[in-house]
Amino acid sequence: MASILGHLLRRLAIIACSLALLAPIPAQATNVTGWRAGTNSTVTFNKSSLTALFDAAFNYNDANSIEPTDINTLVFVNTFPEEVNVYDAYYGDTGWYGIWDCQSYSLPYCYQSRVRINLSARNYSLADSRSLICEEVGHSVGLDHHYGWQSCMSQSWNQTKLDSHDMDHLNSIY
Amino acid sequence: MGPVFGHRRRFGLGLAVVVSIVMGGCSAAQPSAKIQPAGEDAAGAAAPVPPAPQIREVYRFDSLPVMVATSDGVVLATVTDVQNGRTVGEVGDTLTFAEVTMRVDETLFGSVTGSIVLELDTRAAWAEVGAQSIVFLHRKTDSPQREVFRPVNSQSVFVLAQSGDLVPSGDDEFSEDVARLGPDALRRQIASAATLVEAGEVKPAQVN
Repeated sequence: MASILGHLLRRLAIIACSLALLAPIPAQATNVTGWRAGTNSTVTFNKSSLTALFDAAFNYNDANSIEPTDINTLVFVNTFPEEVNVYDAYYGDTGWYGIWDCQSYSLPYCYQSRVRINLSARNYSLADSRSLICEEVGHSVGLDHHYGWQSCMSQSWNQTKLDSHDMDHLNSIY
Repeated sequence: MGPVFGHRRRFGLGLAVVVSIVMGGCSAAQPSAKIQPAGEDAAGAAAPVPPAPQIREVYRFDSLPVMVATSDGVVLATVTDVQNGRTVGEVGDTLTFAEVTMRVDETLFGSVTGSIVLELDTRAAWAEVGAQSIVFLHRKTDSPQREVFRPVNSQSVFVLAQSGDLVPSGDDEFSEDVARLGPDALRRQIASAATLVEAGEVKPAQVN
């Protein structure tokens, strides 16, 4: 009797596990890099001599895409390097508009990273600047690209904010 | 009563096992709160792989003929020298280019021959002396004094490995598909694309 019961319980466990595996995978699996900025929910930013256009874009993104999540941002201007350091400059004919890279890390934490906006690459409109800052800052806090979604992470110039999926992802990380 | 009670205890234990398997053993498949970090090994030790840079690029390709049409040249070339190049940027953030000299072993599209200089904004793993690659070239517009190239974008280099396979610089599906062609088939497809480009049947990509 006991062995039958044990057998049934093992079968039940296998079925339960199988059902759990077959359940819809949470959306958070789709566009997170596995990295995050810093070790807690407060992320510090350094805006270093940004042009007025990208300074305003940064503030717009902070208010509309990052602060509405569980991330608390602390933004400094021209301080020592913070967790995320944002620059815009004329880097020349590099083939990119914006790039994020991590300079100090220990999985899954990126302790210090850099966002670079290439002013040489395009005559940026207001919407362009918001879209680009949104994507690169999104990378800095752990988001990857996803194409075809209503989000700046799609790399579409028309999208100037993170969408609800992105924000859910961030809330699951921070 | 004793045996019945014993069965209940075993049932309770079994139930606890089921619950613990469902809550714990299966939880990795469906994280409920926090995301499992990528790149962590089974023992939980940090992998020494840095986060990949994330880029919004001027071009992003999903067609080989269009990639050829957008290039100023496509070559099979060998790295002969790597040096620090010029520095751009502003106080607080400067970017020092890597200046990579390559010997063109074979011109696959265009008219680039001899020894060429590429300016890279990062130290790419493929840019090691002796490495041979198929490179889709862009002639840089910010070096009017001399001819300097760069790869068209992050998808534009295919390293010829010692195994004979191609290793793409891009980590996207298109790059991997192109690399899977292998060097000989890729050469043939570039030649076919070049014919189409020269006939005006394929146009360069629009900038993103």
